[in-house]
Amino acid sequence: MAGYIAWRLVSAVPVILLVTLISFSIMSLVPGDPAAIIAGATATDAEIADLRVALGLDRPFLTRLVHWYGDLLSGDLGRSILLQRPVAEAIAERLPVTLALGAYALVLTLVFGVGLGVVAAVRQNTWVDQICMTVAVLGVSIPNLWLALLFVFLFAVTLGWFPTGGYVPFGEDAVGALVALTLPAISLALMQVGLLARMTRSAMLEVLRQDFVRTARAKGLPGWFVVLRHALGNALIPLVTVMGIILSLMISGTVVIESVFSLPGMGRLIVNAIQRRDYPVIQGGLMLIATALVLVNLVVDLLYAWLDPRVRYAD
Amino acid sequence: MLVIGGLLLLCVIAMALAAELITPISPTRMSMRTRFSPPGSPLHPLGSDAIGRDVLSRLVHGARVSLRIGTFVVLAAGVAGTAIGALAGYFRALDGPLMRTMDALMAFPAILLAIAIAAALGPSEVNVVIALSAVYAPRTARVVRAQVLVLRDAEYVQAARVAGAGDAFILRRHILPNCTAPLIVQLTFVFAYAVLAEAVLSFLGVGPPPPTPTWGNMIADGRNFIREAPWITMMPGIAISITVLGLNLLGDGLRDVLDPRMQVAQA
Repeated sequence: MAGYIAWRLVSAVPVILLVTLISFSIMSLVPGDPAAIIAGATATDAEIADLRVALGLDRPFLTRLVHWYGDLLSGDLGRSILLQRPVAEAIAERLPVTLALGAYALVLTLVFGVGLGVVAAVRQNTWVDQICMTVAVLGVSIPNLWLALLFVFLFAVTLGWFPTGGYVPFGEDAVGALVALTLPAISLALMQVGLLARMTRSAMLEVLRQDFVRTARAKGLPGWFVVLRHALGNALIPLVTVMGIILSLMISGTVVIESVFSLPGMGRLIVNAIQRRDYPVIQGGLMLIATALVLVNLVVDLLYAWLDPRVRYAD
Repeated sequence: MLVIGGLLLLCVIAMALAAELITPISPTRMSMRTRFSPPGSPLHPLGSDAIGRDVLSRLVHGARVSLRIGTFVVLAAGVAGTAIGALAGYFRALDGPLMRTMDALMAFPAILLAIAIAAALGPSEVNVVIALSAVYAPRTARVVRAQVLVLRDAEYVQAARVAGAGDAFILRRHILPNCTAPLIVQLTFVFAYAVLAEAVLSFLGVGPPPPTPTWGNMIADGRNFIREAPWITMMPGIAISITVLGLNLLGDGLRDVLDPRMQVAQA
């Protein structure tokens, strides 16, 4: 196990280095002079020149890169052009909103994703299975952006059950916060529910076929106990590996969902930065998110190896 | 699944090809006198939008844009992903550098990276294709590499090597043809993701610029009038859902037919 952990840790290092390099290089994709494009058509030559210095574009690429890495090591993600404040500060301020939305959506994903998958597997090839799998395939097919607008139209505008958007901090009004986040969380969870339901179903079918399940049934254990304790317990192990994918999809989703519901989270911060070409925020945001996901996948892999010893020896 | 998915997709393709036959109205023609016509109006069977453009016409022309973007992304991600996956899987020395680079690209949430690339390059249809290809080529490369790793040590490949076949010949003649099944399944899903992603990119203003009729642009246009004219937003959403559902069912069906053991864990 120690060898496996060491090998996984070492192999994450080049990936994280490449992730930071890609995040930094995004600005180099801008055709022509990024400073002129970011400043806009109405900017004077002096403004463009100032911006070029602020972005460090007056220096060569490698010098900027070395500086960026140096700043990263001291926890400095640069300064936002638009907000006129440190990127790290702006992100830290928005993070709680995104974490609250993400946690809510993750709970929905796990409960409904695993739930639908287990029910479908236990009732394989019946109408129950068909309904669960229809919901699941619709979940991965309906664009969450559109579903969110549909929800706003139905439940907020027409029925008035939920607010059309906005964020209520948990500290001020916990119930209000949950209500305000309900539509966004459902829209955000749907795709991952579909994905997880399909995977849970196939993992469960795999396990339910095995001898120890038959033995458990034969010795007279109640059906639900066998399904939950013996089958689901084992089916969950391969499902651990999709957590990285689920989180990655959810972060892509928050970008859209936060925009639709006017939630002041990190996704909206980055979309605004992308639309208004605030490159320090784009670079810092992308780098933080991707690095966090690399670390999540690392933890997932180690957890998987701990749960299933066969993995450690395969590589 | 295969049949239903195929039929849904054929409907969308037919709609895109026959756009001019379905409605002679131009998708960009404005008419201030007939703004916000509800569906069922004599001039606008699916209604009109805030500046009187025909929703049906924009819908069928939008199908063209979505299918075109999907096709080019599948081609580009397919070719690049196959080349990278084959090289990484076949030549051990290339595996580390190539796949760590792919891992790094895949570490970014797909849509988020696509938005950032498309925004940096500037809003246009070609740049959407470039951004989505850059995002989905690594995911395709991983699928191809996994298959090549298995085939590389297969007995018939060893036999070919002993018989004096070169690496290029073995890859082209013996290994790549056996990668087509997982590749086709993967690319069907890439097509589905591309259609979904086009909507997000256009909605956020980094897709093909207005007044280009794309499904994402239509949703963005209708968003502010969802109270008075919900059909502007509803129609393109239904079109996207049908197209993506068709592709997903087709992908599931193809996977069951081509290789029942294969798992999808792609996103």
